[in-house]
Amino acid sequence: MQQLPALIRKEIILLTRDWQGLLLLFVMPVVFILIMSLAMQGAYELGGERSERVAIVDEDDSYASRQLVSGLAGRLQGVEVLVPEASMTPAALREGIRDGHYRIAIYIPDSFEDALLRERSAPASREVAIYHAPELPAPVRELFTASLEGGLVQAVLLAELEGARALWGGFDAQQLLDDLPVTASLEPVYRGGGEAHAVPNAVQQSVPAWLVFAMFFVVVPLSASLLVERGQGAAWRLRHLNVSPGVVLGARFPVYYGVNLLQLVLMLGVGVVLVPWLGGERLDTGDDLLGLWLIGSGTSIAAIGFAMLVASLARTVIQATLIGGVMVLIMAAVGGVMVPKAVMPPGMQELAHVSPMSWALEGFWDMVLRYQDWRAVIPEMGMLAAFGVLCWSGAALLYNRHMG
Amino acid sequence: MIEVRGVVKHHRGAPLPALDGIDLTVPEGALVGLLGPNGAGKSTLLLTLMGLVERDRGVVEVDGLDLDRYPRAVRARFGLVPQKPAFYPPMTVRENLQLFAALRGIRRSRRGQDIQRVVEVADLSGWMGRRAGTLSGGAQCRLNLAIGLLGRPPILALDEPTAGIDPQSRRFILQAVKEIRDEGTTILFTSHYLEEIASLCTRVAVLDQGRMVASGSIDEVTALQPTVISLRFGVGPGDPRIDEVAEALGGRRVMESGVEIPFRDPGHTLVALGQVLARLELPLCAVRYGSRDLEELFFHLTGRGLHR
Repeated sequence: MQQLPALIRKEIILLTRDWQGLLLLFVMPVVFILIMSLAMQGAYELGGERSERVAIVDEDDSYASRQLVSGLAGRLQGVEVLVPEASMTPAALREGIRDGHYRIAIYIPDSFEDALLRERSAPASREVAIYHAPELPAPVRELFTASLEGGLVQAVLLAELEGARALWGGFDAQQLLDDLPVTASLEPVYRGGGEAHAVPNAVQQSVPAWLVFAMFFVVVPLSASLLVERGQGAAWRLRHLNVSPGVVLGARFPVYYGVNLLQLVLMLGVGVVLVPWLGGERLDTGDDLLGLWLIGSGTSIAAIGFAMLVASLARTVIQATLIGGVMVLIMAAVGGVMVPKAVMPPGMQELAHVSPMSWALEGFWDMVLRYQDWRAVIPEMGMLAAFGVLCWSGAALLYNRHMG
Repeated sequence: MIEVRGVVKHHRGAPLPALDGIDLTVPEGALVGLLGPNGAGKSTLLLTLMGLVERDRGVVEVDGLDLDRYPRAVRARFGLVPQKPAFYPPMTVRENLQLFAALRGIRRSRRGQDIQRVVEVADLSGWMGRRAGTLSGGAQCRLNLAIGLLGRPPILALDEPTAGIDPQSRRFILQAVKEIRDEGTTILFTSHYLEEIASLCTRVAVLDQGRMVASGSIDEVTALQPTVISLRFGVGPGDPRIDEVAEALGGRRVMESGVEIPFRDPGHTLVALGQVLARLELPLCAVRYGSRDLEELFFHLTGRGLHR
């Protein structure tokens, strides 16, 4: 029974003397979290601190055009409407886009109301021009187009009603439209109930994502430790001293589990304290620490098991670093660490489910995004633990074969 | 006592067996040298004796314990000094010794005393706080030896413990091995240095391509080879009669005008030699007669060419 504590102590000594490994495990994810949380602030939602600026030039300044502009401003939340004081030509609006003052501009010509009410043969929608920067995301573009078309329909309807009122009188056209029961109710539905954001903001995306990434990166120091031991003959000595493969591999678990929990505390701390201190959004971790610990533990079991398997498959440290590093990168890319799953096309979102990093991310989001209690993370934790145990079993078999 | 009977081991994908029907007896307290060129199977044999490499066939018994039935007990009787430094370079000498003492199962109360003993044997007291990876090659070999001596194992397996180190360190290690032998420890010692084997070992076993080609005491093994008579003739190197002598007596030509003739029956060989020399009328300049040394024996048994 002296063997396990002695090997754990050995592993701690080796790890604390591996400065490059420690930098990789603790400093790299902090840097990533800070960069991504601050750089991507507001990028995941229309309506965060970074709103979309749109210039609207109303040359017509008629009843219908004013209705259109106010309707658009009301409909597009998170949009900063710039109404230039001086009259601007379409060419000047395009210049504004080129200079980066705004990414979208709407031009309403002076013939707008006439075209709308009197010249049905020349549809008003053709008169209104939308200019946009090419990098404007397609969904945002679609949103503007749909809103503008909706506004035009409303303006036509309003104009028709105004005509009817002039003929028969006795009602307020605007009031009639406002009273129509056509407002759709929008209600987010969360797994397990509760009220929270469904789509993560920058810090809610970055902290769990880079935390999971860093936890899986134990593959580098852990596999190096196993392979150096095997390559230098110390593994023979361990076998000669009747240390079973289970103990050789198992002694690494508490050490790297401790490393993973330290990463968890540190990265959450960065999201709660450091990111807001630097001007970013604050991470709200909720108050269910048990849930965070459970999903952190599941992720750790999976990450350590994966690292053991890589170490057992590889023959050299370089091989392990390459295989392990590349596989972590692929799992991260597929699993929504580097590109948020919310912006992936449906096919890729389906594919993301195969990555253990995606399971871990969902578990962390249950806590820091959906604010659920610890029971919500049990499925993800179970899948991660099963993955980890499977990898461990494979690693033990391969280790035995190498040493046989 | 170690008894090895008919041990066979094939490594996956290798064309020849690593061990091919090895028989070996190592009496208690003996210092047995295992000789052989690279790839002969010396290290594999050592690891097989401890069950660290699984054999395909054969029986291994150590102090009456069957390796298959009591692998842990058999391993516990051995101290191992592997060929490569088998410790953790980032840890200090003291940390390494403490780790392996704990893994060896030495009780905490006795650990300090035992570490002190092996530190003295290996002369490491000045290096205890140094990281093992920063030690010189010689000091690393001494640390390797010290770890193998922890727990006073009754049998010590040394796999080329002096390979690649300076003469001072080598002499120190050989002296330490002699002292360990004098304390009654049974020692298995592999080496390429034939003079080490000759000066240290009471018994020798020669392996070649997985086969045991000779084993026994040094005298027994050297007696296996024929005695050699070397002749030098007072004729030019181009004289064809020299080759005739070599051919007639089963010898070989050496240097410019000489032959070397191995023989087991001196009476018959000397008569035949006299007859051939008389017939060919060859003038004899010099005669040397004697046994080959261990190095000659090694080449005689394993050949002079490069192996595999």
